[in-house]
Amino acid sequence: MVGQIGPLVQVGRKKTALAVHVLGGIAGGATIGLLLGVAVLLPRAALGDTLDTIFVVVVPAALLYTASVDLGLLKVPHVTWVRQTPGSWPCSMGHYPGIFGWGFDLGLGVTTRIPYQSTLVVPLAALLCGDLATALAITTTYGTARALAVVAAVESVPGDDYGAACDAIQERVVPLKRLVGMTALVIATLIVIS
Amino acid sequence: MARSAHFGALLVLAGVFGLAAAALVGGTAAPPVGTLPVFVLVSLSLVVGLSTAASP
Repeated sequence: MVGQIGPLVQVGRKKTALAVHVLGGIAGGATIGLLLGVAVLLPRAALGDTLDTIFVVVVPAALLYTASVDLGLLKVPHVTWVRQTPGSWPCSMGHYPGIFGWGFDLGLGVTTRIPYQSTLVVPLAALLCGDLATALAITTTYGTARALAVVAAVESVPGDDYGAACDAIQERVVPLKRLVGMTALVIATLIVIS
Repeated sequence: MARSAHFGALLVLAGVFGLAAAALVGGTAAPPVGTLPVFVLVSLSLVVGLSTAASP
């Protein structure tokens, strides 16, 4: 992302471009949260409080599974997609709409490559929480955090060596994966004991 | 130094946004799954979201 978005913000006003990217991330996260939050209204009406029991069982179980994969304890094929956000969007859609589209697509979280298996629990939890506001909070936070991470990375690059910055971050992917896995384990525990 | 401060400020901003979202939902919407699960799941979203900057 940094290697793709970094050069894009060199065209036009950098701060505007990054702000547009963050707005796209917020919009993407909110959109998937809205869709999942509305999708769960029918099962909520049909199952009632049983949905809460399903949440307490399924979400920690999913966290345990995905954490085991992210921590490297479970050697199974990763669930992921091949699709990536098309690099041609800023050309085909226009500069700022394209950057917004990048943020939106990445903020959705489920339409591009899944970097960590624990990411899959974000939409799952939003679906099973049975509450529109909670679903929105979970997914919008994801979309916003992902966009802000890109902004932070782009802003921290000296000059315009985004390729080197991307390489530097990639070298930290394994520790980051472990961090995400450990977080998922702690969260699974907290949900079970709460 | 300025870049590190900028980087840290953006991460803090993300954290504040996430916690505010969780507080808003947990405090006013009375989520059926409970307030703590909302907070921890928003935290998961934060950690996963912030960790994905390098992915394509």
